[in-house]
Amino acid sequence: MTERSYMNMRWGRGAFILLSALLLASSPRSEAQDASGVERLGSHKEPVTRPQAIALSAVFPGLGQLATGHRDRGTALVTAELACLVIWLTSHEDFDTQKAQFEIESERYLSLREGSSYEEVEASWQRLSAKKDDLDGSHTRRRLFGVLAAAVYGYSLVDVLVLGGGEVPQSAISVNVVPMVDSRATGVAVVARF
Amino acid sequence: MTTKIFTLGLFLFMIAGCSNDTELSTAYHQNYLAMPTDVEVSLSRGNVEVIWQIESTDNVAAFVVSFTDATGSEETRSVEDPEARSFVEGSLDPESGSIIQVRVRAADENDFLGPLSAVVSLIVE
Repeated sequence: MTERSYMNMRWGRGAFILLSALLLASSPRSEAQDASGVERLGSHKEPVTRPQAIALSAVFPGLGQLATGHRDRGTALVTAELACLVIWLTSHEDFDTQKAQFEIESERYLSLREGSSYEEVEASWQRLSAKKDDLDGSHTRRRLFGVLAAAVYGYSLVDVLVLGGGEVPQSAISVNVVPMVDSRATGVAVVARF
Repeated sequence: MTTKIFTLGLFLFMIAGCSNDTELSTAYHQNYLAMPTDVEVSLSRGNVEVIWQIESTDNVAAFVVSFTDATGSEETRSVEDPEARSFVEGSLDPESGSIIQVRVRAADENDFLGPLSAVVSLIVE
């Protein structure tokens, strides 16, 4: 895969995500939604139950803890999970690019078997070895951060199930689920007050 | 419960899908053709004589002798005999005071050229 096609692929993915976000943001509201629009403008307090917190943490680590009022714990878990996922995805992309480059160089190295010289082949071999090192580095990195992401996820579930992360602490107040209705988009905001 | 199982499965798939099946090719060029050693050059009656030794003639189909003058111009001659250990070149016509650098390398039947020998210089008097 060339550098150009790799960039096109990245732009393509970025464009897809952006397009999806725009479609979600600009999706028309249904009549039922419009009919109860006034009612929806208000907010109501819903105390988060333990099963809800567990479900939230199962969807994404730290959300259950944030919903129940464990602000520090939840923030740390969300941040750790996001960081691990971002590095994992980046390393995954790097690995794919380097793998394509490695395969091109590998083919080149093998094609030099006839009619070339030792010096050319040695230079190609050095490039191939360097690309293999890069490839192994990316693989180790993506594997490490994949495992870390899974570990954070696992810890979040253990926390919410066993270590009290799914229970509302004494100091916590509540979480408001606030529908956001305006002329352009429809959505829901989870607002926690501490 | 379904969400948990799905997400856990996603993570396991994510990690299991990260296999590295790339293998470095065998370095076919290393130790494939031996490097000629003990190269000596002499000039006799206008002819340049080159002699060399080689540790192993495995995969050797020919030798390539290259002559490079002071301007960097290179001429190569092929000796299509793996048993050859010398070569006489009579068409170079070197001028007095010029320097000729000589190198020898082995070649296989597919014209793959092995490593170059050390450079030996001939000073024409």
